[in-house]
Amino acid sequence: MEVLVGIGEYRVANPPSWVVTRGLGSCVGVTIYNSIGRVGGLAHVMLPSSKDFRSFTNPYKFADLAVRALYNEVRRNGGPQGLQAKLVGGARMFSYRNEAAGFDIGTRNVLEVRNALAQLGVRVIAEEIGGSWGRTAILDVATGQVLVKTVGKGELVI
Amino acid sequence: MRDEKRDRYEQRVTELAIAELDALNEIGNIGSGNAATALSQLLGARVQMSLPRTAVCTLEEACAALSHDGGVGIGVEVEFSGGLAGTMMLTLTEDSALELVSQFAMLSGKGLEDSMVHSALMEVGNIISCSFVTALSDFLSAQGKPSPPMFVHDYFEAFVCNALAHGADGVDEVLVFTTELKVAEKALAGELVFMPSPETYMGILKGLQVTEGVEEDV
Repeated sequence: MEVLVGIGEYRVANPPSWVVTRGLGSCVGVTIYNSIGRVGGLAHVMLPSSKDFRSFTNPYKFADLAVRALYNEVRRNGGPQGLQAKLVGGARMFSYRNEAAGFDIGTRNVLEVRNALAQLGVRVIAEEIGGSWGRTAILDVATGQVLVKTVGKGELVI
Repeated sequence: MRDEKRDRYEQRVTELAIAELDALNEIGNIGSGNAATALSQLLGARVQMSLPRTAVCTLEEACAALSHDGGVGIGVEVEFSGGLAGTMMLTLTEDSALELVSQFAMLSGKGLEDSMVHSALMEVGNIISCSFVTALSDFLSAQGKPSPPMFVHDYFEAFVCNALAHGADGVDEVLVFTTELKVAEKALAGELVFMPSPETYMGILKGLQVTEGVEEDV
């Protein structure tokens, strides 16, 4: 079964299923996988920090809140042991004049996702990030492997 | 953006009345009319733009609405700074981008990987964006300084989200004008999108005189 994750959403599933999110640009797709319980999930993060915003309706578009929610859901379904994360996306699609190097949304999204995972004690075991192109991420919940597709730059598994 | 301004902005956006949306549609209409004329002169062909739709939505709603269901296309973005600030973007599916480019005789038969095709699309995006914003600047008595156009060919979601996230400035509710293009009687699949910065949006409301109770200058 294919489970589609929209922008600012997260989904957790058991095998046999694939959790898919399309067209990650500066957004980051973060997967948390429990290889023992064979439970996995994916969040599609759009913005680095909810603290930059005074109000919002959907907390799950922010790295800090989405990672925590995803972690809780995976943990609830498969226990706290053996959780591993992978990151996809965090690109810089446009070269903005007013954007200092390293302060683009993509890079900041990646840093905040890493921070949030570190606070929860979840290790990042693979990343396919950066550059200036979009990526589609497909998590195979049976194995924890993530297929990364691009437009014209091939595909790979992390 | 200062906090109290942001507070007021968010209040204004969420309390927008139908009458105000109608007025905003009219603003978008002025802009797109100007843009259509400019593009028509560039191409030497008839250009029509639909009446713009004005949407007030969250960032991810705007991205999803402009993502063409996971499809791939091109985008030309021009950023405006100064008194009239915001993000302007032309998006087209691959087929429609090629359709538009075929209006230039010297580019017929060339593909989307060709750098001359990129240049042509950037020029189209640039002319449309600048003429749209010029129409608004007459109305608002404020000027926007355009960035050079930026070209991208990728998943719609990937670049639309990046553009909106970059322009959001800490405000989750965004105002987006979208309009559809028809060139030489052929409808193009894509959108012209204008997202004013939060401060410019306040200025637009002020220009419309729908900001009763808001005293401070923006």
